[in-house]
Amino acid sequence: MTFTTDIDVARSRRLVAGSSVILHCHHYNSRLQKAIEGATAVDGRSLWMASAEASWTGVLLRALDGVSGPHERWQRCLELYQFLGFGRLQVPDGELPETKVVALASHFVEGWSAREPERTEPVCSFAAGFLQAAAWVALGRAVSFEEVACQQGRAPACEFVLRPRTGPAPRPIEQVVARAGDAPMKPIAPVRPGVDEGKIVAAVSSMPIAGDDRGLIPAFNVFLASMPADFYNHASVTFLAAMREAGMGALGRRLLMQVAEICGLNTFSGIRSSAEWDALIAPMCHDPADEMVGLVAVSNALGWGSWRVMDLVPGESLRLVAGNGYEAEGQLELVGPSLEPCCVMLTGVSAGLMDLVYGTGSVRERVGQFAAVEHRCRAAGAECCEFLAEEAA
Amino acid sequence: MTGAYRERVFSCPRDRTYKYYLPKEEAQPAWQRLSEEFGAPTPGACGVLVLETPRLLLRAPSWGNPVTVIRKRGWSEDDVRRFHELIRFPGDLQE
Ligand SMILES: [Zn+2]
Ligand SMILES: [Zn+2]
Repeated sequence: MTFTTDIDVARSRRLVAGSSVILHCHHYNSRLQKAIEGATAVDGRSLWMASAEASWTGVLLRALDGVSGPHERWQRCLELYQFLGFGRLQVPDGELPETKVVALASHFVEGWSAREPERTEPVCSFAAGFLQAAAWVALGRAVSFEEVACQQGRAPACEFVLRPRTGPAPRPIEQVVARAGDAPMKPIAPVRPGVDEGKIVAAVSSMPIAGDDRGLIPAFNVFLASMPADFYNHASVTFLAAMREAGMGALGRRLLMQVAEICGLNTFSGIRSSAEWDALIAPMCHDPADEMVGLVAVSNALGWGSWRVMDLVPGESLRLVAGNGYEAEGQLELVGPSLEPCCVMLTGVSAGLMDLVYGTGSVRERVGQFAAVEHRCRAAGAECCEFLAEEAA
Repeated sequence: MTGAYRERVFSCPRDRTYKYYLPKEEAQPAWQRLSEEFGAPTPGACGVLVLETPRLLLRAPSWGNPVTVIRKRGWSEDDVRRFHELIRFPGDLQE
């Protein structure tokens, strides 16, 4: 594999082949897909697919810079997909795709089968969007891919068939404003002196997080994937805009926040029960408040941007501040300044962290025990984003 | 009775994963026996010690406790039984 992950410690960013990537787990990604594709008031399926195609088109253009020859270009696309943890794609009947492409493993199938094992409908529209971008960027071929068999439906491999394309060729995401300058948090005094955040970020950042021979990343008791930040931002911005237009903006925001809250619970509960936690972070923790600060430190190695615990009243409330969360950056890049706070993922995760550390019952029972609000947002003109999670009314 | 116990770790990527907690004074001798049988553990990221046996993956902090045991593809009851013997785990009602 020819890729590496560069860590920008000052800005809490992860970069692969020139693109910013964000680590999230299979629960989050498949739930996000379900929230967007499952929305009936808008054409969620087309929105999801369009975000996949447009974000991958830009990512692959950057990744193939300087690579020539159709075989090399196509192969590099598939290797990047595998490296980032989305699964392993192969052309079964040659080297370049003429009739079909198969996936031998799929990050999204792992997510769906963990939650809805009875579902048999194909779930890999994200892979189809990737393949459309790859065929265009690597080979100059504007085609469509349709998943006709899926491992979610018990097929031995997911199968994507080439179809003639109607409509324009894939286009990368357009930025409406100049790239926002990242504003990482200025270092502040630690809220819990025993928890060495710098040490945690450095250690977690040094973990070799790359797809295995199946193109999957089993780590922290979940499957991780390095998602292009452009995808999350485009998907969130276009979905929320469509929901607003349909008169359901508040519902759209609630849906995305809930997905993130559940992700916060699942991913961070996996992190807290990992051997890495036992070795590195558990010795620094003496109470749940220390654990909270340790969890937020781990998240600062995931590429979400840098955020900090500002206040924590154990069992009651948590105030977090993000200097350069990826959602605010994305909003400013893709749409421009926002009238209201827009960081739904970090808002949901703030609640999920409180659910996990101070909630009671099983992971499932903890959902909704705390609720969070983003009080100010960088995308709406504030210096930073600020989140307050409190016990739900 | 050694006082060792284990907790189930819910892990999507893996078949039944357990974390074994050994009495403090038992951790080093247990790792000694594991190393004699399977070879020395190697240091991994974040200070985790890793010992890969043919069908189990053992991961622990440098002080050896707790031991997270991941069952690799093709694991059998015999592999788990042998591991229990080596760490002197008396068994429990789980499985
Ligand atoms: Zn599939
Ligand atoms: Zn914000």
